[in-house]
Amino acid sequence: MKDMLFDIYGYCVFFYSLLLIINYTVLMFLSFNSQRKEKTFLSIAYIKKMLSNSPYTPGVSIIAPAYNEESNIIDNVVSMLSVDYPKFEVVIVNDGSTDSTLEKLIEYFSLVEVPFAYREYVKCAPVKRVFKSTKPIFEQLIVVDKVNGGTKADASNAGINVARYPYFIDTDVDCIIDKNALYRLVWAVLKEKTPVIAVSSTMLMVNGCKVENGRMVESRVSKRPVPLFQQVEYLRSYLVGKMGWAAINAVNNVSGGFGFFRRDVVVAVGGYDSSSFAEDMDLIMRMISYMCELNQPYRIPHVAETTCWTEGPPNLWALSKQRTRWARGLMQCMVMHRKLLFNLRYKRLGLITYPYMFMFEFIAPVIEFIGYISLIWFVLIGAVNWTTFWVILLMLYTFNEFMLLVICFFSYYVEDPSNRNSKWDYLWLFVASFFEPVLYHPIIVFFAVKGYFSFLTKRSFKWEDIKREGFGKERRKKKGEDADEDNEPVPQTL
Amino acid sequence: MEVDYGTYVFKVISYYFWYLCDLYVGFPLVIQICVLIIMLSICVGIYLLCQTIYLYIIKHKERKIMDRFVELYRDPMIEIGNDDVVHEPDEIAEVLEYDRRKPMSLREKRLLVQMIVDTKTEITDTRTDAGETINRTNFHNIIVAFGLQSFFESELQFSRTKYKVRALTWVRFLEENVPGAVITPLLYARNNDLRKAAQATFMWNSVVEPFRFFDNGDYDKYYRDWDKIDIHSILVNRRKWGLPIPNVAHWVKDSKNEKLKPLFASEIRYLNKTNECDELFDTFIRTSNIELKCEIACTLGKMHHVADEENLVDAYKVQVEQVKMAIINAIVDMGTGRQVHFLERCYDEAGDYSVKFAAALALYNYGDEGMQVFNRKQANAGTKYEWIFNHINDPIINRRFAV
Repeated sequence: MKDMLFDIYGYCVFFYSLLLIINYTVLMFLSFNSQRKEKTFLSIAYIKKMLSNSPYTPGVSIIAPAYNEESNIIDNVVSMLSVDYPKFEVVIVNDGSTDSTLEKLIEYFSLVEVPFAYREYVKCAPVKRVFKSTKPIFEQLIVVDKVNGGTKADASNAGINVARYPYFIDTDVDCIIDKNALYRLVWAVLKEKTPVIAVSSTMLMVNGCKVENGRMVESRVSKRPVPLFQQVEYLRSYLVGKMGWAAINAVNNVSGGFGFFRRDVVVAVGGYDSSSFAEDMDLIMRMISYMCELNQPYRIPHVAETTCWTEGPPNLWALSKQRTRWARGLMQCMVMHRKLLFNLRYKRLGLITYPYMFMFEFIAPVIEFIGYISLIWFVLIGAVNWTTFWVILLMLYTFNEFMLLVICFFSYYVEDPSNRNSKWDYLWLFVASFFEPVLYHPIIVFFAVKGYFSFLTKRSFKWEDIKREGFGKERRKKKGEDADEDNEPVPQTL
Repeated sequence: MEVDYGTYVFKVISYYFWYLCDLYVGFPLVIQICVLIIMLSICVGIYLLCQTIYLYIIKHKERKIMDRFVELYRDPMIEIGNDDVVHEPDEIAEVLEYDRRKPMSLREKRLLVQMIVDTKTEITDTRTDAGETINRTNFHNIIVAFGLQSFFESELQFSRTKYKVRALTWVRFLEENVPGAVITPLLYARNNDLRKAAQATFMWNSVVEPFRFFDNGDYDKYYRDWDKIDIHSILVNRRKWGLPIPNVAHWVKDSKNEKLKPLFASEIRYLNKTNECDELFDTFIRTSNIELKCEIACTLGKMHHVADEENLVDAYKVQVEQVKMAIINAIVDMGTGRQVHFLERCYDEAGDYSVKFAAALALYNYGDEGMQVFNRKQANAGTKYEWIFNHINDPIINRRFAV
């Protein structure tokens, strides 16, 4: 009886892994197809020329909440203001910073309080003041000072209330935006026949990159283990996952670190949910649900080229905070949007995306966690068939390395210089990918299970600031900086 | 006997597949599946690795060619493009030290065009900032000097779809001409991108029924927002080169795609076609397309079509908020000074915040009389609406509300 149970368990785990491999293979095919189809034959110079001279170019508001960012706020805002696009504004939301973030902004940009006709389209903590610069060169800048709402979502909502353009980008103040990012995102909107409600785009880790004056000078991979493993995750998630889902218009999440949204749809669904731990995923699910309920066509494309670099957690402690929160957020989303599961009304979201997320992102850490525990137990009682074990391990390793080859190929295929790391960087990625299943992945699984546990036991969650190192040399010397914790949740499987 | 290569490869693969199957016959299913996945991953992985290396080599080569072109031609091209004196193609070929007897490969030509595009963009940006224009004749002569006109034609006739689309955009970007006979076969291509690009290029410079795609509804089939930008640039370009621009007002009425109608309504004002405004108000009344109504109101306002001022005022009450705001703005644009009471009524009766705001802003921008009413309204606004007036009155915010 015991042996039979072991066998059944073993087969279940094996076929679950097999299903996961099949899923990734399908996503790789879809991603390649999507890249081939989406790859524009127009040069960026042509798109720029057309958009720069047209009265129909849509405006874009860049919303960036800032909390205690005094050490780098000026560089980052200057960097945002230097984005290359003819019609944009930068909305900085000072979310009740306790340091001199606001004072520095006021001084550097010659800001004065203005009687802005603020209207609360979406709910957020009270806005105290709105500032504009007296200098016409900073015409595009608008600074909102509000009471701390405890979450980035709340601050983003204040930014949405102030934004005046039909599209907005929600980002973090310390993200490095590519100079052509807005052109690429707007092109992704304009070239579609179906109305686009959001655009996802590839984000990479800034850790290890060379940044000068808030501009990306050289895109490299970090040689430190935690950011390096995350880079592999990010590349896999964006170039295989997101691109693949975009091919069938089933993108399940647009990053909170750098997401492009249609403002009227976001306002119609009530903006970000401040109580959500995965506000970006929650927002996309509500936006898609809204379009499906109104029976309106929609599209969420993915831009394969890198548009933004964000700083990932540099150490395990910071990573633990981030991943635990993501896991809580995922569980919260699954519970909140349970009505979507196999609901025909929500089309792809209900029939493909949500069931996939449930099966392979939500359940996976639990299955893997049980797998690790049972493996230790089987080893102790001597019930492991070592031949089978090594063959399965070899299969997973081979497939893992194969995935990395696919990513390398994709990053060359999209012809994006910023995606393309040096030859030695790829070697580092291979090394990371080799050790990832045994060193990094079990840790991620543990953090995810911890997150689920804290959600189920209703433990109070404090929105702690993750200490980051910054990406400039000067910033590395300084300690105690806060940075975003809202990067893209990446699939935890494989 | 000659062996077919395809059959040979198939036989080799089959041999190893069955060899592998034979090797693992009798093993559990789990092992068999694992081995299959391992083998597939290794085979496809090796193929991808080769592809990536190939891509790397190709890109590396292209970068080297590009660098060579930049080193050889960029600076002389900038000089020629900036020069007010017209240089002949032969002279340019001599200056650029280009040997016409030594033919370039297709790849080299594509990279050369890309480099010319980049250089032209760079000069155009610099000279536009300085309030000057580039010497277009010289740039055209650069294209002739390199023999790129025939290259464009061969690209459009014989290359793959993506290169055809790219060549069409290059032609427009560089403001070159391609014979209609070369573009005609592409006008009804099945590929959407190619068909659109070919139709746009045809409309760009043709004189023989260039806009027939709007009449027969061909252009409408695959409409996207980018087309607005494309059509606008086509019309502006034709006006710039003195080519005939059709009467667009009838497309406002008759276009098969509802999304194209607002575009043509706005093009009337961008092209300053005053004589086409007369029939617009009829369409305004008949249509239920809100975007079209807004664009018509805006065009009538910007074109100072005072004849329809009263009509717009009469139609105001039964419109949705978005159209109401467009009408208010149109009245301000007409600037006759006769509608202060109407604007005041709009402010008083507005049930929506946005309309109230638009009406207050309109009063602010409606001459002395409007300003007087604005001040009176501000004095009586109380705390409920005071912020609207403070916002409009603020000199810093007001920069962005300038009408």
